[in-house]
Amino acid sequence: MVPLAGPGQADSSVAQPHLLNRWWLRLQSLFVPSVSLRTLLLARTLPASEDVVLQLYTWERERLLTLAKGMGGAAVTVLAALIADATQGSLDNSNLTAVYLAGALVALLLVWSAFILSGLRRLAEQYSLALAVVS
Amino acid sequence: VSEAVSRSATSALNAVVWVFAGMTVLVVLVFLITLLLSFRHRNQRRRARDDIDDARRWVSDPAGRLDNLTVGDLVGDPQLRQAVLRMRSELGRIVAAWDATDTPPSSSEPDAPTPH
Repeated sequence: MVPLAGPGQADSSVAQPHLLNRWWLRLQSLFVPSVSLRTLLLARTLPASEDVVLQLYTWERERLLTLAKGMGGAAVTVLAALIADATQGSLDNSNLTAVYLAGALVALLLVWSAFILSGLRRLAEQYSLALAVVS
Repeated sequence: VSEAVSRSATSALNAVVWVFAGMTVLVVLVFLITLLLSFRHRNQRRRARDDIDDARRWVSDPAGRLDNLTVGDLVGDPQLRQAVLRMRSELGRIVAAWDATDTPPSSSEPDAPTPH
């Protein structure tokens, strides 16, 4: 049975989501579009709620595009540093592990960026559903 | 002089490569934590679906069920989607009242008529 707050009692745990939930919401937004259901339900009460939804999804798309481009740019930066390191002839056994790890970072960042960009198609599905929620 | 410059540039590059190596570990950690939390979230979503017809229980859930759910969850779960679409008026009313007073609804409050 889920405990419920009595009349006039503000349960602080309700206002403040669980720490792990907050972490989940933050991390989730690094990968996929994450417009919360609560925001949409609040938008229902506003005039021109469809414009609010459009604005929310415009922000979300820009945020994810910026994130993906940033990941791509970071990958190029790491790659350039590795190439410079190789041309300086400083690759030896002492930093070989670091070089391999940095090389893996290039791949990880590119995969991350590609994942975000391929997930942008979900915005269209979510947008139409969001309009149905606020209608 | 050129040799000294070359040596310092080399050591700077080495430092940068080590920083990138550390970032790799951080990124892998972020991936792993996200993966674990996504399993946890999947369980929470299943629980939300279980008592889907009780809007008040959703909103007053201490775990902040409504805060955790995103539109992506609705896209991925047809049952949840249908339930939320069915209850959207009641959920919206409760969330709006909660947001206005910053106080979660109590279970003993009578239901107000749904606005049309």
